[in-house]
Amino acid sequence: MLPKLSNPYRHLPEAANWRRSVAKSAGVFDPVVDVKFTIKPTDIIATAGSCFAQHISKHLVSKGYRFLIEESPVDSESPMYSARYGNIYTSLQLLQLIKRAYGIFSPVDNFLKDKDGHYLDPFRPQLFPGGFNSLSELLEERSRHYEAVRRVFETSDVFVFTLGLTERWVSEIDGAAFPLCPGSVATESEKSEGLFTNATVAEMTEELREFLGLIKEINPKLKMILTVSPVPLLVSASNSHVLLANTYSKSALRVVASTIENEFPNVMYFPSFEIIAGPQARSAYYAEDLRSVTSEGVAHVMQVFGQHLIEDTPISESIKSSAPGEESSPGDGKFVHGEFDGIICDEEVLDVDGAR
Amino acid sequence: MKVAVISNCQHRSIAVSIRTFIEDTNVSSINMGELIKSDEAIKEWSDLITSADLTIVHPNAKVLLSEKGIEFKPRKELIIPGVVFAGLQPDVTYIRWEPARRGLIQSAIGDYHSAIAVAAYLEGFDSTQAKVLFNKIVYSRLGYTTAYAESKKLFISSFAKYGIDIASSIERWQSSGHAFMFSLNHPCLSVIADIVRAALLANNIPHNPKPDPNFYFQDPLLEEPIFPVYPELGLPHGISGSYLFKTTVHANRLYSLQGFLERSYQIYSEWPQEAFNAEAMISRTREVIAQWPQSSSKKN
Repeated sequence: MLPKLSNPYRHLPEAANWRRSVAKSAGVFDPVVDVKFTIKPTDIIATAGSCFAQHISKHLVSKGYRFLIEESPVDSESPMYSARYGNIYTSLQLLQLIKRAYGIFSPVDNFLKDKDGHYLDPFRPQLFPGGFNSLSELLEERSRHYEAVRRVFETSDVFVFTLGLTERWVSEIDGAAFPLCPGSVATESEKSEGLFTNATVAEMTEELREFLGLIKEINPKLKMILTVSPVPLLVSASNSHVLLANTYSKSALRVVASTIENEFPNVMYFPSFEIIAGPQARSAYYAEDLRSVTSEGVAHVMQVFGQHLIEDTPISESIKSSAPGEESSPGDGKFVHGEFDGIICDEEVLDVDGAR
Repeated sequence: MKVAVISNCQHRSIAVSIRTFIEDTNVSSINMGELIKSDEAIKEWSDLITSADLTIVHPNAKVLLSEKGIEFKPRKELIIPGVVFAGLQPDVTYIRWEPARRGLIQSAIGDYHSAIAVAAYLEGFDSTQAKVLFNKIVYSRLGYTTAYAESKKLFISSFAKYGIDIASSIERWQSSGHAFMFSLNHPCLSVIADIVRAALLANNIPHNPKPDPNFYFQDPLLEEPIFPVYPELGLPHGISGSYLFKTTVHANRLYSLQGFLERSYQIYSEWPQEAFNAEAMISRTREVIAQWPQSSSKKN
């Protein structure tokens, strides 16, 4: 007797069908089919990542979620995250941030110098306008920063991370990952000149695996939401056309996000990239420069985010988590009412011709 | 009423608790280590116990006295074990080396050492580099992050063995938000008070459980060194911590982590390396921090 066959496509849900769920989707486009976990009103949320992650920070703050601020932004021009790590574009930067904060990795480069002889932190070169007057000042600030970073990783319940770039600059001496090519922001380096690499899927996947392994040791209950930045590359150092370089970058990051999501029960991918960059948006969420995401686009992403991931009504504004026995400094918490309109992208400095 | 207390370093805390809960009591207390040192003390305490209405005794004291062939005959005996709770300060260790005073090498604060500090010293980290090792990844790899649950279980069972139920008391100490141990074997007075209350209740000894010994007496163990509960280890249990290391009242110093490391390193440099090698905890700690990839910044 011959086996009976059935058509596996016959009973698929609406979301599986391009024509019905993308080409002719009704209402607010919502590609989220299932979620692994939700964010409780009591959960403490931290964020990091590329400049698009700042939109998520801003939204969480403006809506009164428990957004963790361990270090206030340096000023109103600074990117807003849970600590002063600035934009973290790559998985290698994220991995090395946690390693540096716990003394596991101690890069040979402690500083860069600008044209005025001021000291810059190679890992946050644009965060402190004018830099530092001395190396000891820089190192003291960094030591406080690492304490704050440790508290972010140890005390948050949900960590939202936006993968931004595959192209990266590392030290040719010890592989330390810089957010920007040292030569684009400084005139002198302590040791490294910076080496360009374009990360592979395998490298980035392994970096996130290692990051999550360290997180498991210090905060096993932490849930991670991964997103891929929908903001296209501003400039590519890969010798490819920037559009091709962008396609590689987004594709690779997207594969990494899904690979990690499938491996780790505490990690979930959220499709902000698809909401903004998908053909159903007809590029309407990109501004004139075909790169910046419009406020309507951000609102759409956050609407879907809130609908699927946030339980009930938020109960509190952003919080400053203090070490026990320590009081919050009065300055912290003042940025909780969504005062940040601008999104700060370090990448802009690479656009030497001013091309947008 | 006359009460005799033979215990370890916690004897004075037991004594002030008894004074508080049983009015008009004449309480005498002694550390068992001191007791067995002189024939004169043994004679004095033999008489005292014989005449006491109640003798509170540490289980080890009974063994110690029996090994020495000393037989006390209390009229009524209440066994209260010593409090040992390593879950809040799992980094504490002793460094025993016979040529040292009392066989114990000292740190900046006395007998208590940080195993991480000692291991870092032996591995060649300078005191500034050693400070970086006081973080939760190191604690996790050393098993410190699971020590609380293990200690709690052990603590409850060690008292249950003598009919003393302290399970609910631990929850209360924890919910106070403050460390309830000055070190692994020095509990705060309120801890001893709860244990004494529970022991008196379990043995139907009339007492008034309401007054708080802390209101009437100074905590005797406050005179001794205080080892901090590291914030990363206290936080998951709602207990506030610090990196402040206190010496005895006599020395009267409070060290920061950096200060503690610097002073301890000075002391360690006066001893030969083999003085530190006997402790298994130090060997284990060295193994963990030796994997710390900071070799480029280490000495040598």
